[in-house]
Amino acid sequence: MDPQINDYGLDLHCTMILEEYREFLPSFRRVREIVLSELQRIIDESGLFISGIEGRVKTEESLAGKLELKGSKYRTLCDITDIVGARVITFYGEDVDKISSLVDKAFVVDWKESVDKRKLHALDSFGYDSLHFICSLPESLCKGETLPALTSIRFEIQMRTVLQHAWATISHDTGYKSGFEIPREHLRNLNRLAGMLELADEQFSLIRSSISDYRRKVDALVKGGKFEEVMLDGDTFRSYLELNPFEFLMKRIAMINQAEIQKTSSMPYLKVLQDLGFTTLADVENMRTKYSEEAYHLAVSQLGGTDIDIITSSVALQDLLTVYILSNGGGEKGLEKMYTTVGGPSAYNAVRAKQVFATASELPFMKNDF
Amino acid sequence: MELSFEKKDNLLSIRVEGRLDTITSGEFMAKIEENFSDEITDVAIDCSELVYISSSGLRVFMTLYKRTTPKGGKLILRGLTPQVGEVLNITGMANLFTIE
Repeated sequence: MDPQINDYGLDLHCTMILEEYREFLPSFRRVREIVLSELQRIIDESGLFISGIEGRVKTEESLAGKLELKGSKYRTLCDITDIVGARVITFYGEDVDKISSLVDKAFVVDWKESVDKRKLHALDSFGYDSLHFICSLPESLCKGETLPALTSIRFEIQMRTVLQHAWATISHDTGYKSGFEIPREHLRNLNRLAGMLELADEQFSLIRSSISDYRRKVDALVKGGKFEEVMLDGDTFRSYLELNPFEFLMKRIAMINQAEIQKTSSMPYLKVLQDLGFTTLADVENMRTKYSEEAYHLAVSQLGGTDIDIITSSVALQDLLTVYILSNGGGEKGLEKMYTTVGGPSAYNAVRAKQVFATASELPFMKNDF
Repeated sequence: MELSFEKKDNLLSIRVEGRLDTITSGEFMAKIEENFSDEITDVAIDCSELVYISSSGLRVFMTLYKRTTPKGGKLILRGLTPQVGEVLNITGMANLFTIE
């Protein structure tokens, strides 16, 4: 018998369990690696956005402590199901259920031992626990492995939200469940906190769900062409751009010199539109329909005399806004402001504005309006 | 076309003189490749003596832009002449690059 094991002062039964633990420690470590790798794989494939995955093999000291407290409860090492433990921490409560479904498919779940502690609390008590599955590895994950007993080692997977995790960590630190008597006042405060975190979890899920509903609704309105009902913001403008509203003008401009179109984002122009007072997508759409022809003529006057056969896809919106600003009296200053908003401050913006203003001044839309 | 390169930390500084056209752009890109390395995130081009840029030159600029921005870097153009600046403007590229 290893003299170090004796140092824990355990009885013979517990000492034998501890010896067995030492013997199988490499297998436990390998199970931990396989479990973490498989969890990462299934979560990556699901596309779920989570806070993190962690795992550990219970230390010898920790196991000895557990055996000291309740060693007689365990007949053999196999009865202890949390020597290998993994934890998946999600941001939202409903994702815990999604993860549990993935875990069920990936591992062999022992349903008799697994508990949903979230449902165990009495109506008049607060608690804030996670979902615990006791699992083992399927044969398919152990092919080619040389270590013994990998499929018979049971392990625990906890699934919880970040707030549940925070609660579990803090309550563990305070000795909330240790059996040590906590003064009533502190216990009450801990319970209040548990209730608050549970409500916060629900609210986060509710907010996410509401935002998803809003996005779906806006997307439907945009795709249905009901632009007057859609406020102009980052999400709605992105949905609008997905409809390629400037594609026709873009292709006309490209045809001037049979140019290659380099795809670039038009999102930086959102701030310009908002600064100009556009509040709905209808405002953008009205500008597009009203000024497309003039924007095309501006492009012809700029590109027509050159052999430039490469342009970026945001040129259409740039030219539309140029015409809009000049048609509405914005002048050189208005153009300079647009360049600064989109590309950042630069002394060159004023030069650019002057050049474009000079070119545009020769076009009919400027002569009619000024 | 005359070129000079200087590397300092994550910045590759380039000075280009003359014309960036169909003939010289290939050499320009080849020299950039020789001087480019993984740690480079920003590229600064001194254009004060660049008198002409064709579509081929613009394609080199776009290549550099696409190589630097995914790393959080930028393509900086300095000392633009009105002629080169106008070309960048009418192609929509002036809004992509950092112009100093």
